[in-house]
Amino acid sequence: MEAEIKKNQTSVFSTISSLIKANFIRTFGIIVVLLLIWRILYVAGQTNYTPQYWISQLTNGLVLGGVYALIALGYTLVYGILFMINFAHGEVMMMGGFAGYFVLQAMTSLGWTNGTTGQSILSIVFMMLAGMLVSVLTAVLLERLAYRPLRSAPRLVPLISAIGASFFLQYSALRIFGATPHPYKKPTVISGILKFGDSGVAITYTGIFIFVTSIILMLALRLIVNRTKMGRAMRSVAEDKEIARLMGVDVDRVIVFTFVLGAALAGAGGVMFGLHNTIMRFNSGFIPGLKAFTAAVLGGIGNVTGAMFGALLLGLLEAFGPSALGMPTEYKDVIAFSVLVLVLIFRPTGLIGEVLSEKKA
Amino acid sequence: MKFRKFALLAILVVAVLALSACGGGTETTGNTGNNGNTGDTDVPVVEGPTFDGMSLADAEAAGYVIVAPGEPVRIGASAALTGPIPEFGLDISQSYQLAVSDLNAAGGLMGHDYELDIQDGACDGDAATVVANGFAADPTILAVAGGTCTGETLGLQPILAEARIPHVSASATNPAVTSEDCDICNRVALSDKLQADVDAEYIFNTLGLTQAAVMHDNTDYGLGVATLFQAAFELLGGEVLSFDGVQVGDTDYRPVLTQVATNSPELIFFGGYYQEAALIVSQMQETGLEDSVFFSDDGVYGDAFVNTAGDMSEGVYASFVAGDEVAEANAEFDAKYVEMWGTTPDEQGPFHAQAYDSVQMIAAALASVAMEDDNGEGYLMFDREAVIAAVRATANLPGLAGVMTCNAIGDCGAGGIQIFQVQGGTFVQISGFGLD
Amino acid sequence: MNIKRGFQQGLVILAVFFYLDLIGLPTFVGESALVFFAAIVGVFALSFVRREHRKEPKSFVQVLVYSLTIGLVSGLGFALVTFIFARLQGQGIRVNEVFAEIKPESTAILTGMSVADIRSGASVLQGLIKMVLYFAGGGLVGGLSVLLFSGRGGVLQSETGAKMKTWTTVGLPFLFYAIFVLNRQVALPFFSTEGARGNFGLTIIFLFIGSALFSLRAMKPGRQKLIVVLLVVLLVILLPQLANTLQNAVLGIVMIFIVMGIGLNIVVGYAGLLDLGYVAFFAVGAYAYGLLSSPSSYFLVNVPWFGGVSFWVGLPIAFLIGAFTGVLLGTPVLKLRGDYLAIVTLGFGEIIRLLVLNLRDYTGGPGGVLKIPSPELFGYNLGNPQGILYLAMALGVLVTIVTLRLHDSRLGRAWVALREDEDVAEAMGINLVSIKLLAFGSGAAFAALGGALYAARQVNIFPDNFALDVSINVLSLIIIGGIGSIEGVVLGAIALIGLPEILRSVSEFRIIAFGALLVMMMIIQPEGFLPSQRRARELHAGEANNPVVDTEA
Repeated sequence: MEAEIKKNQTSVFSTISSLIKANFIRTFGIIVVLLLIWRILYVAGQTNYTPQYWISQLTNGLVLGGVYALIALGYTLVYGILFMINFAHGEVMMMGGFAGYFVLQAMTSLGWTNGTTGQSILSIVFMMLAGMLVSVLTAVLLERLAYRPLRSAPRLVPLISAIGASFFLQYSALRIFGATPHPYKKPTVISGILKFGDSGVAITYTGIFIFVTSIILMLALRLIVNRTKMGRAMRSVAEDKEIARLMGVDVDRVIVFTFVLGAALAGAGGVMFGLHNTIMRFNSGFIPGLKAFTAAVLGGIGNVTGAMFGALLLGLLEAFGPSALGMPTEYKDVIAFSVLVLVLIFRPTGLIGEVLSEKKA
Repeated sequence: MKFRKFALLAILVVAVLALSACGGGTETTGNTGNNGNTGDTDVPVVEGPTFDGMSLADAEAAGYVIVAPGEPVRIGASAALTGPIPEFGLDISQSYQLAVSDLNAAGGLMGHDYELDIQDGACDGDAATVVANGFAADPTILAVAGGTCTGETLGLQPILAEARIPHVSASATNPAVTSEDCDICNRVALSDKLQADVDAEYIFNTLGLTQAAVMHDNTDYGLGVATLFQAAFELLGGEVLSFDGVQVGDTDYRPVLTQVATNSPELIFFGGYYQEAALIVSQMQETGLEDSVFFSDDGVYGDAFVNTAGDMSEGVYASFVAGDEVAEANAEFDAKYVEMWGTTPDEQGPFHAQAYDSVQMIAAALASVAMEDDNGEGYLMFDREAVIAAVRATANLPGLAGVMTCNAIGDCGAGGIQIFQVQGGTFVQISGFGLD
Repeated sequence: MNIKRGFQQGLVILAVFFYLDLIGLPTFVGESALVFFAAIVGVFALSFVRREHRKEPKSFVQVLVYSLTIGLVSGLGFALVTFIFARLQGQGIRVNEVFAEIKPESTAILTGMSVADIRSGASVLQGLIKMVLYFAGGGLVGGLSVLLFSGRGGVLQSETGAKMKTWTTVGLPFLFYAIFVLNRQVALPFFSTEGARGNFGLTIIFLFIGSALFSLRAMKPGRQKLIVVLLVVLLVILLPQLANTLQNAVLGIVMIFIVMGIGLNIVVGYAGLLDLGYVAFFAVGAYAYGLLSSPSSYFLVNVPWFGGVSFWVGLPIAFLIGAFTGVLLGTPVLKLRGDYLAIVTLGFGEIIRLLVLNLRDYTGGPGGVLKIPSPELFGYNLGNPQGILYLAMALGVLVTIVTLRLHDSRLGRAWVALREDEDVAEAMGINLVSIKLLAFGSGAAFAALGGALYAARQVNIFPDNFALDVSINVLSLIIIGGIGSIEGVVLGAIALIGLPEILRSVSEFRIIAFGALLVMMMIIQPEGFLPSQRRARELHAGEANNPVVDTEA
């Protein structure tokens, strides 16, 4: 009897140990997830945040995620086609944001931003267009000067080039536009706050604007990639540049188009970022760019829907994380990055990422 | 074939060079005057200036700094021209330059011009190390104005102390900057401790607010102010409901503010710089904190904050150091600044008056210990220890920010802490020093 | 044809100048800005004309017309730009509210007028004509000099030329060293403009090290090379004695980055694992030593029996903690590849920095760790730049030896296999888990060594010193220098860490130039200056059908 138990025990132990050996990382991940759940439940019992609080944080997180999404879409597009991390994408957004700022100033001096609803909306449209235009110009120049000559080089090379371009753009902007922050003044149409009765839940019009726009743009992007002729060309270039060329696809044009598309999104994103956060500065693109990159990887880089989900998840994590885990708010980025690691342990290619072939990875 | 010969030749040449260099090196590395330009043979012993009977070579060997006729008196400067607050650094470095141009317009120092050597301290201890070593390697640098940030200044100090170069910071406010065991460390900025005490006192007694949420930007400066404020406020009997940090470079602080709002604080005290403050102020409106008072420190005071935060800045409080009876001098300074740099000083940052004063203070100290040569040939001699002592001995020196007097540990800040509030788009003084 | 091409290229120059104007270069250069710009036109014209001339030799008149077009187009264009700005400023419009550097001052410098004249809207025509003439002149001089020097390029190809080349290559480093020593001793007539800071000396030291690396690379193995190597080593050992404080301080930080670069080289260069968060281990090393030794740190204050460790105990502890952290952070990312690995390591770098920043009670938070004791040896305090440099050099030698031994070992070959093809390597029976962890661990341990020394050098350390840009710097330097090779790391560290220090007083321009350098370097020579030969071949593998690129290796 006793011997049997002992035998049983050893076999259990050996099974467990072999399981752990075979799947060490996964086991580790599962333990961490269980600990997290325990912690969340524990904290939920300790604190007494109202439901309104959680709803407020939900809106905060979704809007934050919307901003990340606009940049992440550009990251993921370029990555999907070229398999390069366009490190300077955040700076492309920043340039668009500055362009929008100057149009805003011009419009304000014309009295349009505070004029009739039509004028106000029109001034936002002009800002968007200017932002997109400047971002697209920046990105096209970037592609032509810094990336195109490196197309056949190994992946580290364009990455370093992109990092260099990022520094170059950031500090050029510091010299060109000066170091002081450029304050956006919201046009009247979107300067309000939507309040839900006395619940304390409030959401700014700019927040709604960002969230809705990012969803629309994501859907439009999906349509372009999946339904149009250009989209088909993009997918074929992503699959294999050489074969695509043989099939009569103008690879250069497709790649430039990809950059244009990504940059237009970033330009619009830059203007919305400025309108929402009311500030544009030479380094405004850097941290959002980094976060958007994280978001794109979280969702599975190269995948449009994945970038969107990754961005929203990242935004929500930053908003919810600290209070859900009962940690100081300073730890929001620690939480976000830790979750990224956890997700990648279970899904090494991100939430919605395809399993990349050896060649691409 | 020829190669071996060449190699032998190379060895010989290099060995001779290296040995001769070593010989020279050990003789001169002993003192700070190691500029290599004054070997022991090329200085004529008989002719030349003397200082109290001491020959030029002897004076240099003893570590005195000699400024030859026509050469400038050199002051180093470390300013944060890059890094997180380049606009403050630019403002400060422009004020340094204005101060030097004023000094030279007023005749310089006994016929010698002052000259600034401005280096980028980047608001960072790492950069400051290189900057300070550059000054230490330069035997003509007599004193240093700077650094801009606390970390940068702490990076400068050990090296400058070794090289016996005094420094005067215009804007490093952390209490750690001055201490008993540092005789070269001085600042015109007032210690954060003073500021935090006055702020807490004003909030608790004058505004009558007892429930505060404290926020900071997680820099040594912002966290320092916030921690000191918390201590002072709790000592008075106030209650600190929450203590949160935000990250510099982030732009969306709504999640933190939503959390802060759950305690419904009467007041938010923020330790940090104006960009973050501007973001917090405008985002408070959207997170249920529109009724809370916003109170901040001297990193926020200035037109830059009002320009950035726009209408939202109305009603914001900030404390700042300023002196009395200097409005006229300040107006004159502002006019000269606009003429020289094309912008008003307040658009850039808050510390221009202090920066100007710190150079004036250094110049006054240098002037008080400069020694002319015996024959009046136009040489100047400085004793580094005397310069250090003279800077520390500054007393009753009028400046833009008030009258400067150094205490025993090098806090020379003029004036006192004043409380300002944004009213109608500018900071208006509402309490404190000079408003009686 | 020439005119059309010249026109286009003139526009390119115009675009560059417009950019330089926007970032405020005229104000920075000062009075001689116009000459400076004209010289740039000349350099551009030289390179443009030379390229065309090589394709198809051109007559004197053709070159004349071509280079004049370049000069005139850029000159007229830039004059127009300046004219517009001057008109706007003359009407009291503050252009610098949009473009911060376009102030009346910069227009005044470009047109040779006074600021007050520009403000009052006086005519700038005379200044603009002068500008066009300068630019045209610059273009002409640059373009025509192509004719002057072409046809004589054959000298270096001849046999004597080749011999001369070898001699110069080997002799150059010694020449630089001699200049450095002489300049220090007697202030050479032509070189003594440096002032006392020693930036000129520093440049010469960098040239010495750089040229020594190149000439050693060029020499065949043998007795001669051995002699030269020994000589160079001797000179390098003497260097800290001869250099002044600033030079030693800069060389010290360069050396610390070399140690880190060698470590990252194992991870990225040998094993091919892209790590963007290398700074994490640097921070771990620095804080390990700092927290165990600083009198104000948590452990010394709160643990009564603990009196702090000396540098010589702290260094190995930092090494061990670094290695442990490397393995710890390496474990969860074992399965990740390529860019997923890059972003996760970047995340780790941020996590460590944020933890250091926010665990205030233990790490001091943003206030940093202060008054970290300096290393001492036999009663000598090594806390001065010279001592730190010697220590860093010793550490560098140690790390180099270990790395070279690792590289030639079984493990080194396994890393190469891993880098070439992960799946094939696994199929060949290589235990991927252990070799990946060994790569992470040893790379991290080296970074921690560098970190501990850095902490001793800085005396006060702050979380800001361990931000993302350190990772980027280290990664860039091993790639610029030439991935996989130790000489490459040395050269890269000099180029990316040392040179910018010389330029410290030009602040923002320094970082702009750094960015531009990275981009240009990747385009011109993606394998870096001194790559390991294996990597160089790999990098050019994709260009087999593209004979334009010359594989020199």
